[in-house]
Amino acid sequence: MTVGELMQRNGWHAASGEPKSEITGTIVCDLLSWVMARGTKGTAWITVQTHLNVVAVASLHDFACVIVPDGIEVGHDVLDTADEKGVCILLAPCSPYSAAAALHDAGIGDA
Amino acid sequence: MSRVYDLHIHSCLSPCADDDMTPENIAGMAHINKLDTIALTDHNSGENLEVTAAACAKYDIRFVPGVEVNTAEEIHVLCYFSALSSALSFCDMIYDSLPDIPNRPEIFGNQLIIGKDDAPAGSLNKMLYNASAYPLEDVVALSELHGGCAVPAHINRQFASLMANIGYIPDGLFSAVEIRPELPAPDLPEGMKVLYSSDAHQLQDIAAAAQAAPSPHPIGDIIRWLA
Repeated sequence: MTVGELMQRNGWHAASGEPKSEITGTIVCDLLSWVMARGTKGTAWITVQTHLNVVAVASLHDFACVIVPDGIEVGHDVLDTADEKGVCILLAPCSPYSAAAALHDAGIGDA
Repeated sequence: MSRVYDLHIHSCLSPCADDDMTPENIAGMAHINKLDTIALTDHNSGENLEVTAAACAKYDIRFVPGVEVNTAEEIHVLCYFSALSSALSFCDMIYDSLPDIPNRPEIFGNQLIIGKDDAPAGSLNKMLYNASAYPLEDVVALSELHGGCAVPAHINRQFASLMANIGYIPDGLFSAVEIRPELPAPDLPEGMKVLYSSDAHQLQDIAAAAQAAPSPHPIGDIIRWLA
């Protein structure tokens, strides 16, 4: 499933990047070092962190997208950098649990 | 009255800092801004401490060797030391505990090691922004074993800080905390000392903080003051 298809299924909104990549798996984690050590290409990463380093970590592993749950707003500086680096950030109004469940329902497993 | 100390400065060794944050430039900027004490606190490494100490000595600026450790919980903790040699052995231990993931300079930035008179001396391989293997309490204990002290950094910031990551100040673990003056002030236990520093990643940050000084007070021997 592509990021765009996932967005459409759930009514989520892309705040940066192109939602074109194929999603291969999911990580739910807010520790950047943890994700850095375990991320793989095509991962959809659910995190409440919205710091600039989230973009760096997503870019490092060529993640499919970052999903920011709970309706959290992401700063313009972060979104501009994400656009520059081609990192797709999705804004989801639901909780991290519901976001993970939505990925599961879409047939996407662990990263 | 300007601030007299700045105990949170990153050199070009930290991937997120500008490449012109060289030891000579940092010392020169501190001198221009009439700082009498500065600490270098790069992420998880002390590679530029020795040469920054030498640069500060030229201007008669008191130099505190330090490091900003990223704990296993991803809490940023500033560790300060009385002796350069102790700081270096502590930093080696922290660096050794980082996961063996190389830096990607095009994504995270350069990790430049600087030699005498700002001569380039290579770059550090492992990704310094990563978390060390040591949890918070171990970092505090190990810094004290090395004759130093630990101060949680920017505790009122919503990212990689004591309050953001664990949500409270553990009883008796710290005698001082660092606060970002531009962010809402946190509630502090009685008697807790507060440090305000620039967390400079660019040269102009040192000047801006020195001129905005919220709490100028001479601190004398930093380790004794914090103990």
